[in-house]
Amino acid sequence: MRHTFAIARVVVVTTLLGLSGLAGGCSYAMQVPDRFLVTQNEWWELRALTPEESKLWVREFPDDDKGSLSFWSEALKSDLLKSRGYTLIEEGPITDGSGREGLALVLETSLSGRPVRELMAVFVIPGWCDHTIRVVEYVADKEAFVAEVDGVRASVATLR
Amino acid sequence: MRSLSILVLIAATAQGCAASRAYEASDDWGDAPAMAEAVSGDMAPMAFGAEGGAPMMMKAAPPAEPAPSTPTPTSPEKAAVEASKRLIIYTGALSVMVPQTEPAIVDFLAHVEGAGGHLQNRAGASVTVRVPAERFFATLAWVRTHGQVTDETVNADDVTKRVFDLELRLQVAEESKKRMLKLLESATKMEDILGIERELRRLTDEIEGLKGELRHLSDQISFSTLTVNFYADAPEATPYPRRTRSRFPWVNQVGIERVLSNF
Repeated sequence: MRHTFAIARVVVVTTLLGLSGLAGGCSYAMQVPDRFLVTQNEWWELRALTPEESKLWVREFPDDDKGSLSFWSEALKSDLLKSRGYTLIEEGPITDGSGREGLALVLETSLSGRPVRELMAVFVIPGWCDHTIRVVEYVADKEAFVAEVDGVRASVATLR
Repeated sequence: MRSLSILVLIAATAQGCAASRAYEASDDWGDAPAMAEAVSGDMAPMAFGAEGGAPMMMKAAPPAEPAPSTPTPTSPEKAAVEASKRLIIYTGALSVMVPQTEPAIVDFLAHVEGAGGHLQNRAGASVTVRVPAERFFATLAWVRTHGQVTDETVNADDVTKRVFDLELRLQVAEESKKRMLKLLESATKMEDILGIERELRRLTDEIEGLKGELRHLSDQISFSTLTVNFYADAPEATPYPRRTRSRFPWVNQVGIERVLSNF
């Protein structure tokens, strides 16, 4: 009897360890720039901040409709530029750490009279049942943004 | 008798000038050639180069009357032909958002110089250039592809009638001056000589003024003026967006304000 309990305990502990290891393995692998501190890194998101609170946020969204990158690029630009009034500063391709091609947008708007910029990188990850849209967003006041944006681009290139 | 003929001539000269001014008040471009012929025979309309040299033919002369044997073109064709002969002064003003103003201004000025234009004025990030009229729209297109145009004004001022009228007045004044000079040669009475000289001075002033105005117009027609205001900060986000939410849920969760409020 005691032997049976011991076996069960080993199985439970092994399972828990396995699950926790699996969960740990699903967090993002990304080398953030030196001045960023990672405050959260889970399988669903990564958050990092600079001392001035510039924000770096990696998230994923399910896409049951399996839209292509070009479709989502147009949908995003339509919403951000036409509906929200952002100004598009730059647009171009970007590659993540696994060699996946994505779209990078640099956008700007004014909040309470101060210019704020965003680097938004979008990747579409194909799946069996649905696609996953991975979005990297770096938002900062214009001055801070300009100082860090190259480092963030380099970080995106390490994202897996 | 000679005094009387001089007075009649001066009166006729004044009437000629009045006739050209009367035409200025008319908006009917079609009457202009007939008026020109009535006043000074078949003189070709002329303009003066920017350098102020000898008179030269304007690039686009006013439409000539068709020969009797030539079939009259249909209205759209006629309109197209007349439009191509129009003398138009183009001016434009753009506000362009660029990542950085200084490199954008340098690129812009290099493009303008390449197009045969030149810098007219620069105040901070506001640049005024003159470009050959035939490159005006190409330059506008270039600016549109090198930044985001947030405001644009283009003006086309048709000065065809004004130029024709000035040329007509110039011809009349010059003819009058020639006649006055001939009269001066034959005048003997001091009173007549003084009167003719006074009229000659007036005509000379008028001729110089008309030439200067034509020279200015010719320069404005040949070179369009374009003012570009470069700036690097985006305007405020649209306060009342056309559509508040995207039909794609994840799109509503990204963007600057979402990151700042939900991070």
